[in-house]
Amino acid sequence: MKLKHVVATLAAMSVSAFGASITVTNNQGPVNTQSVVDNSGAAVEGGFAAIGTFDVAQLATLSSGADLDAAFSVFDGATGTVGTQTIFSGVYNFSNNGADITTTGFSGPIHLVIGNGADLASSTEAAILEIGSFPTSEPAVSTIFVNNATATPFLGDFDTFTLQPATIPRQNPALRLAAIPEPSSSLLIGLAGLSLLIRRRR
Amino acid sequence: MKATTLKKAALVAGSLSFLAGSAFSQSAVSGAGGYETLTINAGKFNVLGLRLHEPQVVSGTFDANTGDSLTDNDVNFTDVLTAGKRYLVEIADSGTVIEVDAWSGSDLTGLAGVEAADASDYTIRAAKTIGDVFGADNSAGLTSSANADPSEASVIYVPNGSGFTQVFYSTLAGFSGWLDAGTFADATDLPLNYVDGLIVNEKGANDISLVVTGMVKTTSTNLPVSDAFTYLGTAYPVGATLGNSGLADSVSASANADPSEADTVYLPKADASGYDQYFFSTLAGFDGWLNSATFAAAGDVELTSGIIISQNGTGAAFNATVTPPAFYADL
Repeated sequence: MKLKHVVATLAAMSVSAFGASITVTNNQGPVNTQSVVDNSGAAVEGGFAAIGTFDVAQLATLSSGADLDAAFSVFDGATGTVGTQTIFSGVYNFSNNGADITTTGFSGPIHLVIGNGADLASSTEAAILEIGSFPTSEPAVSTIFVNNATATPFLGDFDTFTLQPATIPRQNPALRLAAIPEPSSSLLIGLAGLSLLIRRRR
Repeated sequence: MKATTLKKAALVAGSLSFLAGSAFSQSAVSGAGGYETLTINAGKFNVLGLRLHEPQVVSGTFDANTGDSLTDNDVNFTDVLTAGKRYLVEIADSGTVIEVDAWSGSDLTGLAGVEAADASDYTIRAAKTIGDVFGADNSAGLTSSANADPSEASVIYVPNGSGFTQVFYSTLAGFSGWLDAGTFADATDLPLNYVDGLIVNEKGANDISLVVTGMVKTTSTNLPVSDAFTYLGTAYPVGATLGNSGLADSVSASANADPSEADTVYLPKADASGYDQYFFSTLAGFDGWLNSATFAAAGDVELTSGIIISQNGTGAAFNATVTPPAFYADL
């Protein structure tokens, strides 16, 4: 009897069920939005964004989108696109599916990863940021607005661009994606190679 | 929610009547109406429910159904319903509430999951909207943004089936009014379903008193509960307690007075600082509604306008059926 009624109502009505519902967005409207731009400064359209847990230890050896994908665990389907769903450019806005946080195993910091591809594996430029912490109790509903005051970049950085997120001209900071591997990682890899060459010559 | 103050005196039984714009006799309805004041605590996430409703616009008996339609041959819905509005169809016997956005002649169309049992007595009322509840010009006084920036404004979370639609009020020229925080589209007419609980995150420094007006519903209501935490409205503005709500017939109980075995009903504290948790026990000596922390008897605990039910029992989705207090029969 219960199930019959559920069929009749769940399908037709709006319901929600969330241990923790976390919305992550940089969409702060036509005045304050800090868009996502690629390495050339153009607004990213069609990119990929997700929240979860990134294995920061893998950062130093990151050399491809596949590496980035492998080092990242998505939180309960919390993925979205960049720049294709709002009236503004370089904007993302997505939420998780509402996991029971006592069973997901997530804890500690929330990492946001953004790629310029349709997914992380196909991205050639990316950003990795720490944007907050997972809730410690449920039920929990929250929205995290990502900008240069709230986020700590591990890869990529906020820079100032003459960018108009909407019809109102603004010169706002924007999150600039970095090439994968990031220059510092490339430098480390290069230095490691150089040391090997030196050792071989000896 | 800090306090839910129902103005019982404002419930005037039978004094308010409404006549829908229809030539059909079924469309004349009456009932009790009034208002209640809900407190939105500053700086908190407030779970609220709408317990006073739009007047009934038509009632009758469905003659037939298909999987996605219901038909009443005595009513021309095109004449009595307003295009572009959402309506809520209430099936009297079951308590099922079905949202309807489309109709043609005597048919309500585009419905999902309609069953043969739904072809029975019904009433239809309009769904309230953001503008109805909070004022098209934000007369409720929620904190707005002069920059159309939802991070600066109070946000209303409206369940949408896959998450929440977030709505805020902006005063920026060209982006003024109630806006969807994701799309920045006008959200003034966003429909609200009273089976859902709303969450209001007020970002101002002062508590807000939200006055909700409308009619009292006197028939039972199915609240769809999914498999984790479901935000729900409790439908009835006064007198509803855990004990008389009928919820005990729907939720999973514990035979061992163990809250981990049962569905949990979360009632927000008056200052929105957290929740008190309750469950239903069938263990002799510890039977009935109990506080999950103290195990004190909780049958007389009054339902708040918005509640959360956590599915801890079978894991399957179900309808939590709430029934109006007995004295509603006299309204």
